[in-house]
Amino acid sequence: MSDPTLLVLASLADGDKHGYAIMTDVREFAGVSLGPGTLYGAITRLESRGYIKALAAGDRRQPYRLTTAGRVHLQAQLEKLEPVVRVGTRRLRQA
Amino acid sequence: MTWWMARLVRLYPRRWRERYEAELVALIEESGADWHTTVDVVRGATLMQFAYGVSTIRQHARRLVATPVFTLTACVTLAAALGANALIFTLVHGVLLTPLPFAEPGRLVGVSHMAPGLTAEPLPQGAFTYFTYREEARHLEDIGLWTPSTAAVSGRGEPEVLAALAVTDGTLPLLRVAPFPGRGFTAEDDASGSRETVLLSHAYWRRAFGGNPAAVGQSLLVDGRAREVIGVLPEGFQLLGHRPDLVLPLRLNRAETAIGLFRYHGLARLKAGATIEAAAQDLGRLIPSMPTRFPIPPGFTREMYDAFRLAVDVHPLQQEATGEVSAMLWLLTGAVGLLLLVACANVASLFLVRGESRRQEIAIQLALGASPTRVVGQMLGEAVLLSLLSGAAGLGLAAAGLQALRAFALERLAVFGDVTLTPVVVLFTLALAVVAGVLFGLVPVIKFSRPQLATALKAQARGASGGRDGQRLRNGLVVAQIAVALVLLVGAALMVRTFAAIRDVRTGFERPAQVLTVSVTVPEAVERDPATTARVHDAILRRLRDVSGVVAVAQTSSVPMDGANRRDPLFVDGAPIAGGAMPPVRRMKWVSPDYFATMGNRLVVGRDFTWNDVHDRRPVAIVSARLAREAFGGAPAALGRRVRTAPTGAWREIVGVVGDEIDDGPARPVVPLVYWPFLQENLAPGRVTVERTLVYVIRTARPHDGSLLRDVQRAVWTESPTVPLARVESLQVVYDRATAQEAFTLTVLAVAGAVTLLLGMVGVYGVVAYVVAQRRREIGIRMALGADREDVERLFIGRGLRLILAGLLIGLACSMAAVRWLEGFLFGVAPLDPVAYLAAVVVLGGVAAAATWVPARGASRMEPVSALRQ
Repeated sequence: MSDPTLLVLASLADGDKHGYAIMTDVREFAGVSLGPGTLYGAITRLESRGYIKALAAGDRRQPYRLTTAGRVHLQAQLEKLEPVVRVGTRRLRQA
Repeated sequence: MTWWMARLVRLYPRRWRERYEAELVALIEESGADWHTTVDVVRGATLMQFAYGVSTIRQHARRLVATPVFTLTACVTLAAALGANALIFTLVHGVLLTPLPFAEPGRLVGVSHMAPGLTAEPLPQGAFTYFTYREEARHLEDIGLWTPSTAAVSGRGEPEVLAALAVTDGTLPLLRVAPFPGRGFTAEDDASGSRETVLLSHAYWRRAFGGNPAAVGQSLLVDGRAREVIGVLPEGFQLLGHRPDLVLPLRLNRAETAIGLFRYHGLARLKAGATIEAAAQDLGRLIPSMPTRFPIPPGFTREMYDAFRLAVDVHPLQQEATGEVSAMLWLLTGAVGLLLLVACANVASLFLVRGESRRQEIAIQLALGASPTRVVGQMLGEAVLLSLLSGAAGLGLAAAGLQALRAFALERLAVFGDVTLTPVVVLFTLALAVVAGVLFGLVPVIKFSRPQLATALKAQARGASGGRDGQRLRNGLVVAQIAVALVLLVGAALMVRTFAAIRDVRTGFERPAQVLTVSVTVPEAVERDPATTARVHDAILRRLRDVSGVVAVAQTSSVPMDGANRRDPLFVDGAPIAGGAMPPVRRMKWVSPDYFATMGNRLVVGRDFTWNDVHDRRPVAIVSARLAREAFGGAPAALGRRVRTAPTGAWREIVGVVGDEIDDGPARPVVPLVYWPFLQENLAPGRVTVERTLVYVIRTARPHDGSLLRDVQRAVWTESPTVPLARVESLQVVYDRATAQEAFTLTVLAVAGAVTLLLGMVGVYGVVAYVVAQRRREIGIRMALGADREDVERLFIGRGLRLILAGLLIGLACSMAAVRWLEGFLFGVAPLDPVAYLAAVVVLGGVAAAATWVPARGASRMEPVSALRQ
């Protein structure tokens, strides 16, 4: 699973984060290194769709928050993935 | 962060950077910049540019869709203009800019001569010039001769006459054309006395031999003689528009070559680094030495040769390929360019009107801090998008136009036959669309990008017009449109007059649609003896006379305008030539009795040939009225005079003078002609000669369909079953082909003129209607205060007429200046022909006045109360 938008949404699911924090978090929980260009591509798309929003920033580091729409979207995406993970895992065990 | 990373971040779209640049930079600084980061940022910037580009285009598209009438009007106007430009550019690119289909075409040159002491027309090559140049030229890699002809092939089903090309052995190698399978001609193939050989075209090889490589080595009966097939030419081979089925060696015999007989086309390849000028100078130096290399024929002298003033003409071969259409195509390029300018002016006008309605929106955008660059970009972007869409539609129109043109060209303008819509044309059209978009997009940009905010807001609040500036600009555009429309209409009117003058020319034939021409060859294999060959032609003619519906039949070596051009000097008995010079060269034809009557030409004085003249080989001649006037001072004076083609030949008595034939086409000067019976004794000293290939002119009211052709074939083959027929076409087709260039120029100019007329009319209507709409309140007040309807109507008509008058005056001046480019295409009409100018002014002025009157009348019919209420 390497869709950057989904990874960013998952990272923000447990609280607000700025860019660098999302980057390190994603690396830790998914093992995926998002470059700055890729990360900001995802952030731009998510913000324009209203899934995340920028918070007031204390310095140049801009924190982002998951919106309700973003939460619903993440939930829907994960639910779509769930049977794939479940069936795939079971079949691997049976093989 | 490194300096280059800062640079890379600037690759992101400006609008994106305004929002995200600071945080992206902070992130890069925090995470560190390595090569992976660099690649990621470049990739991210590229994708973002693309996404923003798509979104910007979407925005422009939404704005255009929101105003469908405006968008459609502008799109149709531009598509028509861009389509016309694409079509003409397709022709320019295909005919003028595409290099010849041979390797290193820039080094290929045509070599011909001028001989002002002999004839005003260019002279091609003689065998003596060819051998001299080939042996001595220092700047040519090689030189070759070629001449188109026909060849009768028999022994393979029905006998047929094929298009052939005779070439010297160096011609194909210097063009870098290598036959496969098989080989090309060698010096041995080209030497007289050796085994006779032939090359097949790819198409004929496929048709006659099923594309079998074993065809090479087989024998083919050409003009009654067996020739060995030695090779197959590459697919699509053509030489300057000639697409031969067979290529034969010319087989000139150096030992028998004498000075004279210019009858071959010459082409050469320059050595690497050599220039045309150097080659011309080098060949020119050889001309005086030619009479020492080759014998001068009996009766001719060295003085006569010197009096030719023979001079060599070396020119790019491409020039021969394009011929005379080049000037026409550049003229039409100018015409469609003007059409595009008018279309741009029209669309700019539309954008101005639309800009008025967006004035307040733009002012607010600027007040809220939008940069003028963004506003300009937005306006230009819309214009360019609209233009590109129109360009795509225009390409569709051009493709359809090309399809129609190809149908037209196949019959008449063969040079356009192979032209296709190439990627270069597509790129050119889209680039032109962008330029046009910027051009008409800039007009409203200049006007609205920096409006005075307060004025704009107030103006909108008042509901008043877009101001005097906008109106002045629109007026200027309308004046320009009318001026350009007049230039094109004058051009079209002059071409209409030209065409009418061409149609009025006495052609030397009547009702050409009723004359079917069929070329019939009696090869030596069928009949070797010239006198008996003449009897065979005579017998075939009698058979054809019996075909149902045939009114008359006759024979000639060439019909008017078929491009045949056989010339020789004409010596006149009792007319000594000063200083031993050569008499003028005259064009000659060999005909049967009744040729003039069948064609519908008149006998001015004297008599026609009789069959006894033919079969008894009587020394008689007939001359055209022009020749009689030039050589003898008039037709009666020519009767009884004697002429011959060589100083030692037998004299022939002129027994008749006939009306002139337009042998080079109706728009060309009349060529003086000499006619001989088609069987001759001593025309060439000591020989009996016959025209083996004769064009039969068959006058019949029957339609020229398959049934007539079958009857003609049956009649010919009943008499002689192995005689091939070729070139079956109506004389009308030959005539249409000769006038095709004028017809095509006229059509394009007329269409361009009509479209600009329409655009000019729409422009005038738009301006007056807009002013009426803007001044509704004022009209209401005037009428409420007692102004009558005529006053109101006069007010607006006066305004429109002033613009029209200004446009017409400027247009007249421009037309008079521009007409010199059209001068070369005019025939029988003066460049400043008052009728053409008056017609154009009346049509354009009338249409434009009508376009003014409609909205003016609308204004005068307005109800004052409703006008004031709005």
